[in-house]
Amino acid sequence: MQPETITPAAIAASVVFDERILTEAASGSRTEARELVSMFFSLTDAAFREMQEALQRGDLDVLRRLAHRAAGSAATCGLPRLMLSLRAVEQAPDQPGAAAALQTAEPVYREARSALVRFVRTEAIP
Amino acid sequence: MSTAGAQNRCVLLVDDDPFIVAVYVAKLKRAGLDVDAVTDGAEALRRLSSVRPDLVILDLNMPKLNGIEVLKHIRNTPTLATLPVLVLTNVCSDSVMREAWEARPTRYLIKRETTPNAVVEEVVALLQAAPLPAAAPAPAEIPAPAAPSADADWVEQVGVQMKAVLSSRTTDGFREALYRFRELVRPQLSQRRSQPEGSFIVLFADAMDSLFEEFYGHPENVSPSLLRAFELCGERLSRLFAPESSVPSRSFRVATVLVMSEDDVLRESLGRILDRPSFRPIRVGEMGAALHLLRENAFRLVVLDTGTGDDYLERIQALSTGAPGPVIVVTAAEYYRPSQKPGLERVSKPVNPVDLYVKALLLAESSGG
Repeated sequence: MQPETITPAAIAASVVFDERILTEAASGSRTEARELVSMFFSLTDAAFREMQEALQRGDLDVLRRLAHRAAGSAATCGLPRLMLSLRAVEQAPDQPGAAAALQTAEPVYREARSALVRFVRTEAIP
Repeated sequence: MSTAGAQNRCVLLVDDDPFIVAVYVAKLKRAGLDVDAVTDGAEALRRLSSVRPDLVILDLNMPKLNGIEVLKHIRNTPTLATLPVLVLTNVCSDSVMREAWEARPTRYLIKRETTPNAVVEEVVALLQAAPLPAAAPAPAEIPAPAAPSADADWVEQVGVQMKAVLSSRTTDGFREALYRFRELVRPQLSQRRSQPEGSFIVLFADAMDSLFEEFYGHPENVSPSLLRAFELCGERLSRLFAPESSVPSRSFRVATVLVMSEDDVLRESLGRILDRPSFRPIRVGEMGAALHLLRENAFRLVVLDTGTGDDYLERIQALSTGAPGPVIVVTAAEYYRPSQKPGLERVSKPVNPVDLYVKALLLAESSGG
């Protein structure tokens, strides 16, 4: 089984936020969900910063490792679109490809961020 | 989900993503399990050398030492070989999965295709299973070494296994020989860890652990210089545990070390490597000043970056005030040759911290540690 190629169309077609996944990860607790979201923001903000730095240095190994890790966090947080866009960064074959993938991932992260903020502010979780 | 039979069992979670760790630690604890978490493979090996968990959850893509290497270590270590290991990863390429399967995980789950609750259910089911999965006996090609004792046979075996490591010509042969060597010496070193902190034997055991970690975790860093550090450790080990010698429990006296390099960055880097409780590095950037300090003070060790040649070494050795003590010469990799002279060792550039530290410890000890 080879990893499937991640196309822009596949990213666009995926769900931004699946709240059931985050709710499950937080064991249905509002407090825990807030803590997880806060931690996710802090780690992912740093990951995007470090990915940009790695890209500027041309260090694709570090860039891929960071993207891989952030994709795992995104999946656990219920953010399939962000997860896919980060996997596209991880799979980029070269620096221009990685730059383009990262450029695509950034607005997806902003969109995911907004969805999470809305979620923790609503009564959607007990 | 009933967790009967799994309560209070200990799970070691190995994942470099703090977010994943936070989620899974909370989930597993809620299920009544004891959880220990580490964030890289090298740390996992350290933990496994002192604690045997009931199950390991293992990521594959990690810094320092990847999950497959950790899994191979588990399966090749007789005391850990039957440990259930649940690989939890987002890596799903053919080649990696094949390699992971060959290392015999108990379960292989893809993070994005599962949920934390499903993983916890899997963990509980594995812990409840009786007997625990016996999927992985130690491989036949790596026989468990005989129980060591500090007698003449053991000392002889150390020499034999050390030579096997040094003469290995393939990566697999090297790892196999290293495994045998480590299994042979580890029990002896573990027993000696009860000695007071700061005693030479404890520092030596730690240094050997660092060497093993370097060999397993960073095989790309294995160089003739690092192998020489290993050889020195093997020789010292044989003498430490020779039947006629008493194991020194005395403290290692803090060693003042003169670090001389005209290269500001290298000098600082060498100094930092030795900036530990057991050493007091004095950094000097000019040869005249170094010679002056050597005439006026007693140093247990000199670490000398010779730049383009050995002139500086000759000037130190020609000091009229007597022997300057042991010297470690930092040399370009292409000029590296193991030293034949007692009290003189070489470290090749780029300097591997483990290489320098091990040699510094052994030489400083020989000069009055």
